[in-house]
Amino acid sequence: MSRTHVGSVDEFEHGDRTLTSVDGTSVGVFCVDDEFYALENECPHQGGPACSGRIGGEIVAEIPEPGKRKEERISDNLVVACPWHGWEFEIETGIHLGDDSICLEKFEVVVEDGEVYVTS
Amino acid sequence: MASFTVTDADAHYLEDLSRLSEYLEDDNPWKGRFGGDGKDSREDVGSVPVNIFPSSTGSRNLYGRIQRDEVSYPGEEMTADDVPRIMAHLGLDNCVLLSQKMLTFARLKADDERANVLAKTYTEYMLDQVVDPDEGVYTMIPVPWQDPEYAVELLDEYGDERGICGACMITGGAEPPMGNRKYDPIYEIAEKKDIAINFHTGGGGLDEFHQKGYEKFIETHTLGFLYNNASQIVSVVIQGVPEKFPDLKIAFQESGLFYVPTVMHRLDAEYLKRQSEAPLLEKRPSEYMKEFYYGIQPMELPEKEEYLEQIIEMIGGPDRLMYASDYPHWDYDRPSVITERPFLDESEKQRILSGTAEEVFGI
Repeated sequence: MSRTHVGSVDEFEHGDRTLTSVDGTSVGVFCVDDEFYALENECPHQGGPACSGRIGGEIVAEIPEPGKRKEERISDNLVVACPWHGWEFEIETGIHLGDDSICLEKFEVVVEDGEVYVTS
Repeated sequence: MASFTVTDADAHYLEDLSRLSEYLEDDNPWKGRFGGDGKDSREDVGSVPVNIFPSSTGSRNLYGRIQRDEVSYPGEEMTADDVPRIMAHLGLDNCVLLSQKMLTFARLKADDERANVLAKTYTEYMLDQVVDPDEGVYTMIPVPWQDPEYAVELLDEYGDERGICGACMITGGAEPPMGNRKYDPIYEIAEKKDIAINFHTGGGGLDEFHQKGYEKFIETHTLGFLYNNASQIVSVVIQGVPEKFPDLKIAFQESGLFYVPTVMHRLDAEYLKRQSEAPLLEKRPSEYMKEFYYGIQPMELPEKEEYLEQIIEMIGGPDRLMYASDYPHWDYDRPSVITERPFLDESEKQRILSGTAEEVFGI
């Protein structure tokens, strides 16, 4: 098992992201609510840099009752959009928003003495 | 992985109207309207062709999710310097650039003048500044189908240029549809000069697609791009264009592949009952459609590879298909959509990635 140093916990705020290389693989490391998540930076669609795209809340909708306009809002669930074609992935799980059989590979993140590491 | 030669049958060049204006005479009022030095201001062009895409159903670029490192898209300008960067990004040996602004032709109904001005200045600008066959850079003449007589003049004047590899007809909005006899002179000169006619769908006017009231871009884009091409295929085939111009190379672009067998089989079913309405035809509609060429983008990737394999077989196999990127648009395809297919052998991949396009475009 190898460990790749990503940075100090202090360097990250909620919604921050950095790209790093883990054994030659490009990986995106994200901070969400003081937790860290690492996902492979290669989109399963056509190989785009999925983790480098726009970070935002998942758009969700509710129907108050039939016949009423659906209420769309941006939720707290952070997602990242591949900049090549817009495929969006939940940061906490790496799962595609539209099909849970599609996902970015997840890497283990360890925080030790205030330092963030990705293990592989 | 084997190294393939790649020819992109459809990448878009985002031409800047003010650069095109340099190819207009000083006394031409369109010089100012295109943003050049003239009395009329650019605003007078109105929403067309400056703002050419649907807006009410949503953002083409997913409200900022789509980004391009190589070019300023979704900006409005490219220069010749952008082309090698795009070709390197996609791994291209040859690329066929299409006018971005011609996609607006779908929205032009009565005004047949600005389409002519755009088509001519685009062609002159591209030949002067961008096209370079020695570097694999080609373009097609945008066909201003609103004015077939003028379109013929353009094909006659520029069709023999080395950097011109085809002529492009935007399939959205053409009324009457393109099997009508009024377009025959265009097909006639294209056949005579061996200029491939590329029917290319377009997003201009999609807000008013077929019936008004769709709420999201995913709805209008999914249906509109299909409908534009399907509507012209039906007309071109049933009105006998391939019978009238048997040596004319015909290609359809940018609606994926799965719609093609749908149109084939539906036309065949009707034709066997209503052959009397298509007396020019000597064989089933699908047989003509198997003689057309198709740009693959945006290629559908079903859950089972065998479904795609069967679709390609129904269309007529790799000899009918051309890799097309549609770069820099939001749904562009990379050559990997072909290189990664397990059911294609190396020669079939090479055929789709470049061989068919070389044949169609004379590259």
